[in-house]
Amino acid sequence: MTENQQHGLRRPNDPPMLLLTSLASGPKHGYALLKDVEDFAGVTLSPGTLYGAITRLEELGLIEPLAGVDRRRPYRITASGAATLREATTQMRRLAEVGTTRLRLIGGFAS
Amino acid sequence: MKREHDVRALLRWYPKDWRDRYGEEFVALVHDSVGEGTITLSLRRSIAISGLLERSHHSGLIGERSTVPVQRRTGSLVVLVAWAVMSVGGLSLFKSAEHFSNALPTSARTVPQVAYDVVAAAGILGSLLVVIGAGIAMPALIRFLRGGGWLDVRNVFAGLMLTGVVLAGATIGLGIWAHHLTWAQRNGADSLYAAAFVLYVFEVVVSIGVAIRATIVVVTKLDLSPGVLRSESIVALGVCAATLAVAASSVVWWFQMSLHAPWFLRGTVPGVAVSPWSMPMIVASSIMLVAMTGALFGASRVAVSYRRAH
Repeated sequence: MTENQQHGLRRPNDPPMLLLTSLASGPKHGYALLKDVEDFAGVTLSPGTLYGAITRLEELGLIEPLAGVDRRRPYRITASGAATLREATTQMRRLAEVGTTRLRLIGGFAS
Repeated sequence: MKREHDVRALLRWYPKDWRDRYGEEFVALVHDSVGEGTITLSLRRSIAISGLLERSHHSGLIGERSTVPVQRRTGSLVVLVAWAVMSVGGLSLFKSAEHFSNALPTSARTVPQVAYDVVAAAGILGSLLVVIGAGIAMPALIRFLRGGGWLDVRNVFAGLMLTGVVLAGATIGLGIWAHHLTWAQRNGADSLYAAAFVLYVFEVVVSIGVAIRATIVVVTKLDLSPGVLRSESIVALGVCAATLAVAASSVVWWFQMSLHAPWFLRGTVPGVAVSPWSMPMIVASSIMLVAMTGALFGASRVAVSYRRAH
């Protein structure tokens, strides 16, 4: 198992992957994260799942908290988190390219 | 206000450390998500599951997010709980097996007798190991109580004392009552005694539950050194082996009895061809299966903690 797989970054819709992707566009608090993930991935995370992923990513040092406003605390991606996301997206892109190429060979991919 | 109280109540599914760190922002998130609507059953369930998962990770029950000492301590505690469950199964077996050798032909007594003796020996060995484990942790317990920890655990101890006194009273009372009854009356003919016995078994199970809870609460508060934890985990592996021995020998005993004297298991007239699947044995075996699974799980957590340490 690779390090990314251990971090829960195996599939594009793994909650930690969705959160890192969302935070790559800037710091967000819990509710803003939920809405952003829903917008770009069409995935509705429950509060429990969201905070499970936040807890794990913070423990791994992939995200970090910022000063809170009211009770809402924003998070931002760390340099280590950005590197992890880059590695995961590179792997996914490679897989997507291989899949697309092979589909073209059997005529199952029109464009 | 009621909503705030409701969400905070849901937070109790999570461990205290987690609540201290993320509680406020989590409450804010639930407020933002639900808006003016109600907290649905599915949201409650989702929070409960997430909270229990977080607790399991936090306590070292699953995953590798906890520290090695926490995982080792939790694995050892799981084995201890499994042993307590096994004790209930073992006692049920002993109750069912009273005078079993009389029901067997002389030529068929050896294997079931050996299996029964192994159950008894493993039971004594496992209990001794539990006592040794308690002895190893005793200096840490004394330090904890002397250091003011008594205030943290006095309610737990009070509950333990209360159930202990009730159980002792019930044991003496039932014993005196049983002394005045015939064998048939003790074994179902007296319905009032049978009902009291069921209540007594319930009290035993509750007492074991209270004792397990007290042990977990106290042990998780103790400051155990790496050496003590290592010793406790070795004891736990021994208790796990005893649990497996009890379970395996019970199966052998049951199999032998079903071959040579199935009527004994069903409590019918000797020589009658009946199915050996008696309810007390099925219940005892199910309890033992649960205990064995728990012991193996706890031992595996202990073993994984050693792998992580290296």
